[in-house]
Amino acid sequence: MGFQKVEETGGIGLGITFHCPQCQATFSMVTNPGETQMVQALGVTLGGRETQPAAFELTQSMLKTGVRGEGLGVSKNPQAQDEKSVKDTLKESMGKCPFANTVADMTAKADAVQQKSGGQEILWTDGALRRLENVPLPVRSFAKQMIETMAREQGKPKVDEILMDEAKTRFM
Amino acid sequence: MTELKSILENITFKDDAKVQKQLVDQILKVKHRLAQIRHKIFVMSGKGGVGKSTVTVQLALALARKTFKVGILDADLNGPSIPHMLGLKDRGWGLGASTLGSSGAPTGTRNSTRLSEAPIVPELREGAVEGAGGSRTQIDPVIGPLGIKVASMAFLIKETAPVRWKGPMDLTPVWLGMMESSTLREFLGDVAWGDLDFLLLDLPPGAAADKPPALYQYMPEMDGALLVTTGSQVAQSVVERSKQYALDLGIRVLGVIQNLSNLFGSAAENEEILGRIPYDPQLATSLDTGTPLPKHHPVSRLFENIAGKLLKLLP
Ligand SMILES: Nc1ncnc2c1ncn2[C@@H]1O[C@H](COP(=O)(O)OP(=O)(O)OP(=O)(O)O)[C@@H](O)[C@H]1O
Ligand SMILES: [Mg+2]
Repeated sequence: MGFQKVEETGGIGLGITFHCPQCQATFSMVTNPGETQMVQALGVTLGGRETQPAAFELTQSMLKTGVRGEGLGVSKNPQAQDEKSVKDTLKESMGKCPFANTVADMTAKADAVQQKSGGQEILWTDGALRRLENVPLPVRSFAKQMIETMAREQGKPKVDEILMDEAKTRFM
Repeated sequence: MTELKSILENITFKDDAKVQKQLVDQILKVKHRLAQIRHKIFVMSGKGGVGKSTVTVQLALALARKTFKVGILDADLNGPSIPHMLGLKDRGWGLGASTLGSSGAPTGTRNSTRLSEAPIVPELREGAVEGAGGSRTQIDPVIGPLGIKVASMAFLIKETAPVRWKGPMDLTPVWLGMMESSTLREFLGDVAWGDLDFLLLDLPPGAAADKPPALYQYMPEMDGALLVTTGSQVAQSVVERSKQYALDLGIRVLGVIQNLSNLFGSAAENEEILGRIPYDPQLATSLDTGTPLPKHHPVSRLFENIAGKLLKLLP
């Protein structure tokens, strides 16, 4: 059994394929953004941490609501640093590692999209939201993210039913 | 089959990601903090708007007047009202500015880019604040009237802002539950409560019924719950249900406080009832303006009496 390839799945995950030259069996493993989120929601850092977590680290980093900011300032976002170094490491190992290449590609693509949309939160029309409710619950958030990614790619600030139709033909 | 079994037995579990250790550390932090608090009491009800927060505040004041050291954890994350009632609504912890990303749907890679490229606010730069790695591991509660220590979501968010989480929380209740449970853990572990005689936990109304277990799992040694009800039949049957619910969880019901007793008519005499609080316009004004009623006010006296009964119930 050997590593065969790594590819992007839905713009937010990696699919990793292994193949056995003797029995011709192929296995695929897919990374799961949901699990990443679960780890986040538990307030842990994969690989452990060297310093103690800052007060309200998790609540702060996960709150979308406007946060009071009077400059008492408790912490820098600890994640920001970790992930910067991940990015640097990726750059260094590019060309050698298929994972690094794929992730770097995805990062670059996401960067471009980010710039285009100015990092705006994507809004949803009522009609589009109703349509989203037809998506089975277990994959709904996944679908939402993919459609928002599409909207960003097209520089659209809002998901409407037309975009939903497009998404349907693209993903189904 | 035996082969599979022997294979499984030989797999040793390695906590490579060191997740388990962190989870244990989280719990230890809470345990350590709670060990300094003598009594922990939930104030709950099955129904919204029956006066939980009112009772929490008045009881805290009564206990503080008896010279106990009292803290209030406003566990109503989505509708925090304790700071307002204690005149602390303009206070904030100001932790916030590091939460820069305002957009939702964080996904592995995209989110990481956004975070790493977010401008670093000057006052949050590394080393600018005391503590290891430029971050504080605990935060002081806000001190209210009579030295009551308060922690509330209201100190973290802008006054009128609804609480919204990043990620797919709006779509999957499981995430929401996990986030809220983690937030409650931070309220218990990250606030420098210090030595307290009492920590009163003001719980959200019945619909958010997953909060008692979320909190209870962090403090199985807690003393018990005070149930608040109004005299109306509906509210009472609802309280009956929450009582059963608390008991099922293993939470001791310390007693029932009947609020607005003069409006709905008193429930039958019952040794469980620790007190009856009538509708009182001065109490309403006091809560509205955040100025505690004086010690000799009839409502203060009622709560002094309730506090006395409560003390007898506790070890
Ligand atoms: N005995 C009373 N006399 C006068 N006003 C009261 C009394 N009890 C409660 N109130 C008022 O009723 C309102 C609701 O009370 P409170 O906020 O304590 O209820 P709650 O059970 O905490 O509500 P929620 O379920 O929304 O958290 C408050 O504005 C409070 O000022
Ligand atoms: Mg309340």
